Amino acid sequence: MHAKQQLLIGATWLPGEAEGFVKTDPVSHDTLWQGSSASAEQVGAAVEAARGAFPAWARTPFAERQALVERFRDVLDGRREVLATAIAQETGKPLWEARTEVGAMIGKVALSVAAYHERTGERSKDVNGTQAVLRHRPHGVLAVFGPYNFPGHLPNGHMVPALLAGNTVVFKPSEQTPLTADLTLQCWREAGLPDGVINLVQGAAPVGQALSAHPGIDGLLFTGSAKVGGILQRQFAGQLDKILALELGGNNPLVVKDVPDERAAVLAILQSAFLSGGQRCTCARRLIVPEGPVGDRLIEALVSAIAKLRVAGQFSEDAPFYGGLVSREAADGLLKAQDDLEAMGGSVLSRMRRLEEGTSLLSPALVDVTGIAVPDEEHFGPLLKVYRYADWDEAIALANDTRYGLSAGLIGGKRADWDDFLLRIRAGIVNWNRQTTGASGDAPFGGVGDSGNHRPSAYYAADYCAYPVASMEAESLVLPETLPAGVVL
Amino acid sequence: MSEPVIQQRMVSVAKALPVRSYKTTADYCAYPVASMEAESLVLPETLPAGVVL
Repeated sequence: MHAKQQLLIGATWLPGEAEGFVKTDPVSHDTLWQGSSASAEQVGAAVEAARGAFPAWARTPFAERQALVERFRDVLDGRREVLATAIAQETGKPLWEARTEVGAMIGKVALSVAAYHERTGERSKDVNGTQAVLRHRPHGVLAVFGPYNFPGHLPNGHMVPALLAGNTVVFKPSEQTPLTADLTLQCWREAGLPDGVINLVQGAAPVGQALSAHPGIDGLLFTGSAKVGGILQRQFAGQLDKILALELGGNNPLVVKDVPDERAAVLAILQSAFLSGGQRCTCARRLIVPEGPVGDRLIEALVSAIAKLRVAGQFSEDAPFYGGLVSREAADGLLKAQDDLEAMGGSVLSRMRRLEEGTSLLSPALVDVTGIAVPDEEHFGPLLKVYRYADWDEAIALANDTRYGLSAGLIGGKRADWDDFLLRIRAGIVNWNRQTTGASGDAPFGGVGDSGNHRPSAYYAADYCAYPVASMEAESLVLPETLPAGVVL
Repeated sequence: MSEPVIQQRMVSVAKALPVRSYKTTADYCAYPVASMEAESLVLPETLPAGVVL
């Protein structure tokens, strides 16, 4: 399987007609994908193709749609290594981690079939000879906007439920990850998905703008930055006929109550803050630690573990904990964020450095910003801010001091502390004595505040892929024994 | 603690999700909270790739 480096519109792979772009490996500099963006006309053609395919796909019995999606899963299973390699090359994540991403794409199919029935299944009951029936119907043409950090798994988490529900799709991947999208779409074609049911438009913001503004879409499912999500929310505010699902970022707190096992606490922090080089939306960005000797010792142990953490290229024989950031520009941005925090008065406990010139490989940063008003921004990389607190109420207040509300974690504490934390913390993923990363695929995934628009995905993705239809139905129309007041027939 | 319980919890560890054939809650009156929770923090037997403690 090789990259087509083209768009997929209906049954046809064809070259883009707008500006060209190139994706290179952020560590090795190998060229991975080179092609042209979709023009606005081509975006329109993709929407038309999806529209044309919709009636037949929506009428296809669920069992047949399920069988096709399961065939796609089997194709993925046979292509695990080529997909994992592409994901590792494009995102910079280690090969071992890219393999787990392909595993998550495969696992998504069974989870989505179960969620389809559980969340949007059919029920009926007899009400005095009339059947009261609840069914769910697909919206129509859904635009799916993918992020770069999980270029396989996250768009797949929208597309599989959307297709199972009977929608057709126009997929616009991140311009940072055209290769993974190209290969994934080839897997769908190989599985035998009918023409036009899924379409691919490649390119950056102009393609996204043309697709989101196209009157022919019935909804848009977006995973990405809060900035772009906010623009989409405003754009869709006046369009009651379209569904919009936003999965955005977080400035996630990890609160340490006490430290019964220092090494275990250090590991949980590393896995929360630095898994995928901090390029997960659930990553902890703010570590909230008690003042005093217990906290001091924990920070000291953390600094020491950070110094020993292995960061290297995706395909290193000695597997790294994390690899490169998605691009050199992203790495530049993280280094600048560290500089900015330091200029504001932050104290750098572990300094982020570029490990190899010209690459996106960065060592982790740990910056104490206690008492400093720093911007409430999501730094999408290996940068963890530390806040020291005097008492529990201050810890909770610090944790909730963000416009976001995606994930949060508590380390240590008794059951009563956890119960209190759960009631007071504002987030959609709240863990105790577990890393903040690695959300379960059979639970809802989403948050409050600026982390989304209250349309959680994963287990609840089925909800935004269909609308409910309530029916009262009877085979025949019968005159009741008594007529309503005031009626004479 | 005076805050009302405003969350709908969905614990993903320890016990399985309840299987429902349709939605039973007023969806827009609550938001879901998914948790992975354990009484104690335990170091795994093998450390992840690239970690030395």
